[in-house]
Amino acid sequence: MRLSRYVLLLVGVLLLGAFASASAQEKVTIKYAFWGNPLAIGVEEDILNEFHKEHPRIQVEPVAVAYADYHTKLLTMIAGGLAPDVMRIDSYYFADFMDAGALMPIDEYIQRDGIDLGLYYEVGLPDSSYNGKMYGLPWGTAPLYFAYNIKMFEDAGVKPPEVGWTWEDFVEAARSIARGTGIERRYAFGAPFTVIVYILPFIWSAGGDLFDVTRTKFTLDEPQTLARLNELGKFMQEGVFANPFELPSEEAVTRLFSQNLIAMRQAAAIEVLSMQQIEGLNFDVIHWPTGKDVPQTTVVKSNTVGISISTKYPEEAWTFLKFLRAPGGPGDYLYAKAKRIPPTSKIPELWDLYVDPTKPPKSIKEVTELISSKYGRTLPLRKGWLEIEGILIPALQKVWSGQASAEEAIATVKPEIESIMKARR
Amino acid sequence: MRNRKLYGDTPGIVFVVYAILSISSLLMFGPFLPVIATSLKSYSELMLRPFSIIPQKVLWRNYLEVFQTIPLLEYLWNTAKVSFLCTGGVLTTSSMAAYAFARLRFPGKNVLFVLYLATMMVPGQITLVPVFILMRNFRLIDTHASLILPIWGLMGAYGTFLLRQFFLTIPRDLEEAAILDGCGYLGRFCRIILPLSRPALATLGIFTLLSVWNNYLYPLVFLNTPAKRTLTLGLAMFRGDVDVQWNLLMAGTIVSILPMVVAFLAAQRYFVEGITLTGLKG
Amino acid sequence: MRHLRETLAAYLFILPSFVIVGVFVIYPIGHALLLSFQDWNLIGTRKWAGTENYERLVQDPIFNDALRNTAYFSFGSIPGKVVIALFIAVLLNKKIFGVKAFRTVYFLPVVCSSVAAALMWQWLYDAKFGFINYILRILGLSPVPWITSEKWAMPSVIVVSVWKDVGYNMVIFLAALQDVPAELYDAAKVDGAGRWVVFRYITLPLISPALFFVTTMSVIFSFQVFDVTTILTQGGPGTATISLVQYIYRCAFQFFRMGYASAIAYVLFLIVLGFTLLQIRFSRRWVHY
Repeated sequence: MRLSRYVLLLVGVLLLGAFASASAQEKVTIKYAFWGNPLAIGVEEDILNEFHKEHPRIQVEPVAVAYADYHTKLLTMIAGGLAPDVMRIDSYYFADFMDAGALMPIDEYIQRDGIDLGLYYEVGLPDSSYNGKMYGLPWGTAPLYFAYNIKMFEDAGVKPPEVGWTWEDFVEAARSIARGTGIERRYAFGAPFTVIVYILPFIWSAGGDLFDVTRTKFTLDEPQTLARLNELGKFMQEGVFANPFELPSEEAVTRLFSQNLIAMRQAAAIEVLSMQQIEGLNFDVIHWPTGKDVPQTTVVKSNTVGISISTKYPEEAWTFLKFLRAPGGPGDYLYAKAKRIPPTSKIPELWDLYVDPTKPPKSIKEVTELISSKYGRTLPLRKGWLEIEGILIPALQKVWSGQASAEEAIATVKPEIESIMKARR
Repeated sequence: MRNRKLYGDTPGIVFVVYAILSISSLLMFGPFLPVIATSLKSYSELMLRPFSIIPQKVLWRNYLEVFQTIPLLEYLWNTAKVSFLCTGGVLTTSSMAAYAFARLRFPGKNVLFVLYLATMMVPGQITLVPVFILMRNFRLIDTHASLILPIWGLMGAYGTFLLRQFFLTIPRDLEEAAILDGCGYLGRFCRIILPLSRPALATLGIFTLLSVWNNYLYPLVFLNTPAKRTLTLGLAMFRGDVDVQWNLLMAGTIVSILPMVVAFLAAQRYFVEGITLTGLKG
Repeated sequence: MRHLRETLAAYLFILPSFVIVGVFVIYPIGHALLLSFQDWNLIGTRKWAGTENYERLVQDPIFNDALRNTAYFSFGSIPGKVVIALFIAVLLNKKIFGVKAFRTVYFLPVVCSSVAAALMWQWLYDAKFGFINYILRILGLSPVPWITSEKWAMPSVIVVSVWKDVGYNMVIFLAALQDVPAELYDAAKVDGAGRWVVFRYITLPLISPALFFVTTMSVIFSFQVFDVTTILTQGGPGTATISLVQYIYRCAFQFFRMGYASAIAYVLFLIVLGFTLLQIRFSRRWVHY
């Protein structure tokens, strides 16, 4: 009799102990959504491993797909009520996501944990905020550099671009470099011109912009902007710029750039990475040509990682977000070490980790600093950006092919664009 | 094995036939040559000499790298599992439904048939969110079942239509004989219709396998766990946001095509069965 | 009584299929129909919009472009896909040397993914370095901007689509040709019938059910074209190749207009349904069971 009572007691104590320890070690699982190819995903895996070591109670499950249809997946998950707790959003989509109320504001957390936003490159911060509040921390803040082929400049006997160079300098260099006929034709500049981002530096240097400061008025039909668009069209027809219709993607540009047939091009961090893998290609980066009294002509693009408004674990999500994106935090170091995207915070050690002195472009560090302090500019993003782009680009393509003048083309699409800007969503 | 010399073939005709087949085969296969070449190039050469058919440096290790960069075998297994399960399901349910449409009379037959056809007329991109919500309610998100079930449904209508057309060409005399022998519906279905429909069933089997194998949208949206990914998802990862590692992507694509080619070769056996029908009235 | 048994049997045979199709296809389609009368950005709450979406799409220039493109694509590609497939299937319906290899070669384009296919043809079509223009240059002709000119973009897409899908239909025709009894051909030969007569009066009627299947499904599928226009030309240049489903996808997942996208999908559905019903009605005349 006594034995069985002791056994019961023992079992009871064991169960109690197990229950107690289970609830003390109660694990929380959160989902983290991002895009990438296998190499980029490898970096995220490293970050997750480090995070799990430091925070064993929080289990982060990665949800990663290729960039191409990432937002489709994200939207479907949110629509189905299974929004990931922490998610990365491309800046083109950010305003629409915010307008629909997908993320929660994190100003409180930022203040509470003393995150110094000043350590970020300022130019990237607006893309993570909405109506004055922060809705996430910046990710992948990087300029869209202006890259040039050193060899082609040498061959043409033209002085390479220097800091502070202007649109006029650009035109002069372009006209001197473009030469040759047929397949051997050497172009001064090449871009697909399939997204708005390609035209912005050019119209910015003319003193114009896509929208006004409040981003509620469409201003592409200002005279200086239209004149600049016509100029671009002329360059394409004259063959100073490569025919954008023959450049279906950035990759085609990389191909021709590597084969020394295009001298100047736009280059994001990813293109810099690709070009570094090409044997024998010597290139460097600089800011985009400036305009009269307008030094800010270089696009700086910045995406956001935020916390879902419907998350069940905001504390844990924030702990992870902080780890991932706080300036100078563990995430920052791991990203810099992977050498895939330039550091997003102004911390010198990060640059030392990222830069590979044996590879071009040699000036990337100085140029990035210059761009963030003086020459950089954030995109005039707003709700409906992609829809507007879908209408604007075909119209501009008529200008590139000479079928219409900029005045005519823009006048045709202006009403529709304005109605999109006014529409309720 | 059919050993037909149809239409009284003269050597001249045979030559023309071979000529046509060879030229068109070249047109069919030709575009694959740059793919094979690309799969063996380095990234650098891909950019510098993208259109050459013979790489300067043949990098067989690209194929190895694909297996190392992504767990290709795991994805192959996942894809095979989902494909075969779905195909089995489609073959079973569609053949049964097709039998009813082809041979039996019942009220609502035509309406139901058009309804089936109608299910194929709404693009999958627009039913994506509704299906996701449905899967979520069934708690099937991030499982392979969430891939098998919707595709089973989509191919269900297709398969039913296809098999119905084939079943209708089977002469009724054979069944009439069986009815006299006291064979019920199920018996006739299993013993007469099905055995005579091997080419059609093989066709549907291959098509269903293929449509699951190459499906991208559903795995993309319904799966989260990396270990559950299918081939299409795995290969898509090589497309970064702007940089695409074409060489690895093409190597991976070639590897993923091979099982389907093998399946097709195996199924060809059923395409060369002839039917010699005795007792057919002249 | 017998009729009741037959009806019951029929329903039982259809039941498994209908359960799967009903739950996983018909129900979501109904849900999507409901969405077409709503306004939803996928994130926030749904708002009722009545027939607003439908009214809007009638005036939408991109919708009209997409509709035109899709019709152009369908009627441009279907004849090739059907006729060529049938022709090749007839040729490959014999046990000639290498028949398995030939059939496999024709099926290869079907097996490879749309991405791979688009890449291959992007290379072939490249204006500067593509193989096709290379040949043209050798022949002394001027290169053609295949996928970057408004005139040639859609024909180029059609060629790729035909290349990719011919093998698919060929397989169906091969299966159908298997069912044509050998005796009929022998009898015809004895009667001294020529090749064309045999084809027209024996082969064609006997495979007409399969032919009906192929033409009907071809219409249904080509109106839903998505992969080849998206990946090969991204809908461009301008709006020269944007297809209806491509526009639907963009509206739903890039422009945050799910309701509007559903409405477009339903208009597409009605158009395809209309064509299909016409084909069914017309089929009584030429399809022999």
